[in-house]
Amino acid sequence: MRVPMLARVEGEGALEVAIRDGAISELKLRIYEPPRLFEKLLEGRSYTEVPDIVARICGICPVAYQMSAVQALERAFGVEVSDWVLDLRRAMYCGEWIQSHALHIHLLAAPDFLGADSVIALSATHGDAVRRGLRLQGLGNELIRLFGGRSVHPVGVCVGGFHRAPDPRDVAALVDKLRAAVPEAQALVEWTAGFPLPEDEQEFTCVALRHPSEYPMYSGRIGRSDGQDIGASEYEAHFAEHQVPHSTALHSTLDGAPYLVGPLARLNLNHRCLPQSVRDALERTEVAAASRNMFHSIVARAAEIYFALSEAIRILERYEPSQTPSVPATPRAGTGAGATEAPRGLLWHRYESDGEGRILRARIVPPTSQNQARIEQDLKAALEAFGLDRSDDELRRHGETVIRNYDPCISCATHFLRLQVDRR
Amino acid sequence: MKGWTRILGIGSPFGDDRVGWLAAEMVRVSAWYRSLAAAVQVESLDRPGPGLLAAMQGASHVVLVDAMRSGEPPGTIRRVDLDRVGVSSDKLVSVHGFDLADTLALGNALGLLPSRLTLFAVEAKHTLADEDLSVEVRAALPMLVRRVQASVAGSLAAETMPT
Repeated sequence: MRVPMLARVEGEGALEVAIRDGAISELKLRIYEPPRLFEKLLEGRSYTEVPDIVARICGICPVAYQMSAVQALERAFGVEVSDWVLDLRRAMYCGEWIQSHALHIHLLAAPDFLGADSVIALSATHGDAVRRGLRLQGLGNELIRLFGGRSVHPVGVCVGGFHRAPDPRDVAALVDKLRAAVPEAQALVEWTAGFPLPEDEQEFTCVALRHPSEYPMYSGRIGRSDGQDIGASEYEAHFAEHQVPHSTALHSTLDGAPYLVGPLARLNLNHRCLPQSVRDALERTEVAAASRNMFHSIVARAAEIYFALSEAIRILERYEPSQTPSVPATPRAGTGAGATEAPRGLLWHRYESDGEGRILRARIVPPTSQNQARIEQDLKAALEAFGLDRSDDELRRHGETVIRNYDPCISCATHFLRLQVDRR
Repeated sequence: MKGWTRILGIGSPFGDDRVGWLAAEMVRVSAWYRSLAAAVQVESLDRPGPGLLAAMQGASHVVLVDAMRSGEPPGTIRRVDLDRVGVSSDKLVSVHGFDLADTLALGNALGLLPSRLTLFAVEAKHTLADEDLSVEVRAALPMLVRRVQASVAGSLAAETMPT
């Protein structure tokens, strides 16, 4: 059977499932991702061009690419940025989490759980919720624009800091809007937690940044479910990317096994670092502190919107402009790695530079590629738990829901899925 | 009032898909626009998706300019007045697939569209990354800009008429 379209997952893909004697014997998620040439394209470029080039990799999460890039390059050059810069990078990152998560929850995932074909159909029954989602998304974009000049492919970030400090009047006006949206974010957590989410407990390894005091976004070490953690520079010793014959997207493994990155992994590993207000909101839901149900990701996203809104307010309400929005960076020959939490999960970059600051080698590992192997693992378990005797159409619908739940990224992964079921 | 009428050029840097941006830029540098700047805003948007709804907020008349793929000869300009025909996604075939048609359908479902919405869609010949604007689309640009200006001038005249 061939199913022509999976809307609401960005990119292109197809799913092949072979069923033998009532069990899945083989499952292949084919992602037709055009090979990403950004790593090669960066070679020979000046370090000053990197933040604006990598912002072009993804229209939804450009800030994440910029943040991991500047962090890696600053480490390569031994640049220490100010606390002012660190705070504002975090505030800008909050904007991206808010807009990306709001887009995914309302336009992509919610229709799956509320029995609607699309957000347009959902708008007929849940118009107020969708309008609230669009308002939150718009606020996230405003926050990105405050620092980046524009919300798509922003341009304000540079190695050493920011090109300019935002005007305090603009910051104050935005803080007022962010404060006014707090009740909306609280209500959003409750709304998503009330969805009839499938019960599907699975075992999986979570990977996310961990920080002693912060819910991770820009800073921290790379942590995992078993409590171990590593620095960004040690990433390649533990994580491996490999090609699989059926997909042009690389699969990532941690010590040889699939793992999860993204909101649920972050929440599971960093629940204690959330502000009390967000923990309270979560405690009113059925989402446990260490959830094994992947479908709780949508609630984790809502909680992260609430967190990001609160965090942006906390940082920006004490904002003072700086005369030195960036520290000078002097390039030197060396290598640096950076890891930050994109909305979809850990985003790792490594750059090797010559003495002039020209990029000799770049390596970029996006979250969607890291989740690829985990998505296949989940699909197999989720479809078997769902019941393989169901119709192809039901299986396709459930498979789509499982995949979409990971929010595979617009250019990091997929636009539609074809499902091929081979039953014998 | 500034922003009541808004011209939004939608596009990407790829081939004829930049026609919306070019039209917006031509309007922006025109003497006609400078004479009206207090009443009209012009913006270029890079595949805004649902962000288009936010970009339209507060405007009473929005003129969208975008590329389309509908099988017409390249350079063909099609005008759709969405307040008259309603929003029907199968009538709008943008090169941005979901984005424009579905965004307008969503805006319609949520009551977030401006009271007057005009779309000028230009048939694209090619939209690949390394391609320049086609001769056909380039030739259509002056007429496109004149029609955008006429549409805006018409709504401005209607707004200033006594009721």
